[in-house]
Amino acid sequence: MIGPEHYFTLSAALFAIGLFGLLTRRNSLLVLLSIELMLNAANLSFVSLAAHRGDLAGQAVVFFTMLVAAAEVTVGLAIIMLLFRKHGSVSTEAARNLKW
Amino acid sequence: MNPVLEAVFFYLFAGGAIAAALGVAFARVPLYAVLSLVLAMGFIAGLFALLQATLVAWILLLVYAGAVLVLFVFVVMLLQLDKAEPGAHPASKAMAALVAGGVFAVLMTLGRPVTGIPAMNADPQISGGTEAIARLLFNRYLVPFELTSVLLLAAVLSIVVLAKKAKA
Repeated sequence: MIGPEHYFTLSAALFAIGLFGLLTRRNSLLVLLSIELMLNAANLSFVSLAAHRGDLAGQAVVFFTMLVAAAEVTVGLAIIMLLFRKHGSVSTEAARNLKW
Repeated sequence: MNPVLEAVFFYLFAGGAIAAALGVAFARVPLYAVLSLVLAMGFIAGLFALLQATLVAWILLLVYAGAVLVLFVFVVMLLQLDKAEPGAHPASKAMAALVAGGVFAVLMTLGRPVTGIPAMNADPQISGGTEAIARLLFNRYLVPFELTSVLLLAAVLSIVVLAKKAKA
């Protein structure tokens, strides 16, 4: 029988893998990608607990998380495009100053 | 659903999601990392469907795997990021593995007991169809739902401003 603890273990594992990617990647695009993975790992535990507890509020929260993540990605990618135009590189080491 | 079939599907999707997530964290070529995330989203959407959360499963597939990750692929190709990136320093990799492992251990020891809390409803089998979620969003969560439109407007405006500044 698959219980919520199985889903929680999977979601914790996905979160840890995403965190590892976030800390080791130097390409800022891939840093953003790792953040997406971590957000969806959290979404998975929300949905599994919603199903377990019989409360749809968990799924409503996932709906909002996805909305915020979509806004975050579009703004993040625009900033990465600007970074590339300014420095000719998307490396996190190229972004040393906030002002230009 | 038949519990054996459910277990088979769970382990299939879970294994696929873990493998695709490892691709996101380790793939050398940026495009392969993005495509791995598309694959991971597909497996996570399968798990959502297994949990009867059909609406969020479809949104994950259409909005995430469909729109957001196409945007990622577009940026990767526009910036011609086809070269393999240099790997991180081994010492910083070990440190990152330590931090990630520590977070996993903390989640498993402190967070996992949450799953043991018994269900509120007598019948915990609920279905997250469009109608049920819509009722919740337009009643209990009406104010946050309306506020998301402000957030999206702010995102659109900020992108217009960012794009304009680069041209000047």
